[in-house]
Amino acid sequence: MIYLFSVIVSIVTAGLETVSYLGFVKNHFFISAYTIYFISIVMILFAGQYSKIIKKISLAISCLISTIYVLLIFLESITYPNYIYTHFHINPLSFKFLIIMLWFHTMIINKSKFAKSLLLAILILLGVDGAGRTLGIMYLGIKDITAAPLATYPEKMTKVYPGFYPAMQAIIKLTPPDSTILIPPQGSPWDKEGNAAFMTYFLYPRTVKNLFEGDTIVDYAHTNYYVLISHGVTSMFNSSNMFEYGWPKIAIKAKQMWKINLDSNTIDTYYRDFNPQTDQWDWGLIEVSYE
Amino acid sequence: MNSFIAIITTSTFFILSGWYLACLVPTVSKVERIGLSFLIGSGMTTFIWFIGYLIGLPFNLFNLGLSGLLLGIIGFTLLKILKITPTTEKIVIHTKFEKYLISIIILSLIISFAIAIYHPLTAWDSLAQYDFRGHAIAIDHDLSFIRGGAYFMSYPLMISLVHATVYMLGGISAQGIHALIFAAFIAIIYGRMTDWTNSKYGILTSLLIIFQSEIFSHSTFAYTNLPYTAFLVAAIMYIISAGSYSILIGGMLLGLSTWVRSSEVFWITGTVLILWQGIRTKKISKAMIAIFMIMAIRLTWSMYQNYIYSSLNWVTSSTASHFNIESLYKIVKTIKSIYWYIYLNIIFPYINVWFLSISAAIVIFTRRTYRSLMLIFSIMFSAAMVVGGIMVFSTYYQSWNEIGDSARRMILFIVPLSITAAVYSLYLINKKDSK
Repeated sequence: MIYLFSVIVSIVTAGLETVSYLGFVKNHFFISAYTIYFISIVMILFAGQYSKIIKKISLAISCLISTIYVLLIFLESITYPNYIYTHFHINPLSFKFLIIMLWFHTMIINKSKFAKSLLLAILILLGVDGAGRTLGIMYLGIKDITAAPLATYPEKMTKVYPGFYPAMQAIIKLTPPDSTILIPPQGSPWDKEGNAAFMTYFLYPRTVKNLFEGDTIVDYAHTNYYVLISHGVTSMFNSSNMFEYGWPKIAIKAKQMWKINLDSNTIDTYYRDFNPQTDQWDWGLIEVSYE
Repeated sequence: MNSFIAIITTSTFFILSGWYLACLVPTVSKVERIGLSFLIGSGMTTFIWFIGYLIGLPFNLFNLGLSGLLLGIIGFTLLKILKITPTTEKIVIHTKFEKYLISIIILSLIISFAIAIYHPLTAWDSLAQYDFRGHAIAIDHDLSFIRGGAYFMSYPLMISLVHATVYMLGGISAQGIHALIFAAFIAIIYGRMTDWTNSKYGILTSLLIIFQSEIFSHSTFAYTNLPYTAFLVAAIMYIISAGSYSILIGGMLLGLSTWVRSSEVFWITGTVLILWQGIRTKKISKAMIAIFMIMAIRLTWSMYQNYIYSSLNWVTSSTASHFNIESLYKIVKTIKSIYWYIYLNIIFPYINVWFLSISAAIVIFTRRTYRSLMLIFSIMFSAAMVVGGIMVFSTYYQSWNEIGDSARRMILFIVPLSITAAVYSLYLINKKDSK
């Protein structure tokens, strides 16, 4: 009887901390939840024979609570971190203790020995926790597939990198493979287009080089040199006027230049020099004149 | 569709080229043999392809074909010399429930493949490193561009060469091959666990590993952590298996793990296991051959890497060169930060797994078998190496505490290893209880 009492106390403790927060029991009852769990584990020394009904009830409760846990973790996986706590005020970390306590004692009640009960309880926790999260990944992946099963690779890339990917495709069409593309300096607001390694992935075998502020284009005025025109991307990190958008910031003598219009999917060609004051385009390219 | 055909063709080629070497483990199920052939084939064929490049042959499909053929001939000759006649073990499924669980395993692997092949390749390290190198090799047929930058030389070429194969065959994205590496790994896990215990435990282990989100998610994008985990854990499992030549297969897989990622030091764990197993089973010569294979694969890459680094005047820093008093002082000074780094990136993300390992260790120390001891030793030794490695790393890598995500991915292999050890312990308990 004393064992069952300790089991109920430990389950209630884990339950309380699940719907409140880790440390709730210590704050209100002056005894740590971990101490209560430990005592309930020690109390297995007094565990006796239990009727079939108690065995079945404990098993049913454990299965039910575990199923709820899987569903909650699944919901969090397909929404956002902390979704469970925000919507249900349930603390997933404390919930893990509830699962372990429930299964551990269910095993003990069902005549399993200490080591086996502990091992099974943690294995079940690992299984339900992993299943909830993995099912979430599967759901999100399948959702993408079913939303556009016949999407082409460029369409999918454009969805991930809107603006950037179509602009890169346009640049590939406009430049020969042995050309060099001069890109903005690395950093906001050119997080992607200023990253040479990232740009190289999309433009290879073209050579990609950073054109730094203060550089003069004369240094680069050779055959097959092009300068990327990029306004820079407004993101949550640079939405204020922290940066002066628009690149390049210097006038460049050009053979020709192209304005890439992603909305209309067209490219306008201009045979004049680049003027940073007037040519404030989202995307474009300058073929450097070396005359 | 192009990617699908290219990935299936590449995988079939790897399976065929690694088939005879996989027969060194003579009695296994067809599923395990295919999984093992795929890992050996993909690793060894790309390695021979690389050796070919070193002696002046370009990276093209013809030379890849020759590499596969050579691997097949080596495997076939070995089988003849060693007089091994491979037999296929039938998979015995006892209940309808087991059949149902196997269907879930297969379905999950199909979903992993579908997600990987459908989604574009966008993971950062893939774009900047592994997949980019694959594209560059497929375009240039050599390493001319890659050799020009120390950054591109920081990882061995295996995964990039596998990607290059897919691109040479006309594929657009090689990401799907990572899901197939995952499937091969699960086939090996199932096969080994079934061999050590029975089908029930094999299914349980496979299911638990598939349903670990950290592992499953890695099968859907093109990082090297999952392939590394597959080679390392499969190696450990073969090293501690009973077959005559399992230790050789284990050594080969362990060597190939360094062909996927060379900066990690967990090959030392496997090497200690090989020595232990070699002494225990009195197979010292086989253990030595296994260790030779590890060193041959590892040193080939690291020597080439160092050669390129020196030609670029790139100064590298090895962990071993930092074992000194000054480092010790630095460690003591930053011990609190190191503690929090380990807690937040190594312990907390895998808290369930560490608890599992501890409870498995409790069981194993009371029901000792050599295999269970080796499993728990692998976990503990690797954990100790992680802690020690982070301590030393913190003394010379300035932004060490900013790359916690990498540390978290580095220890990914602990998940399948702990699950295997725990399920094996469960088997030991049940076996004893049923006596």
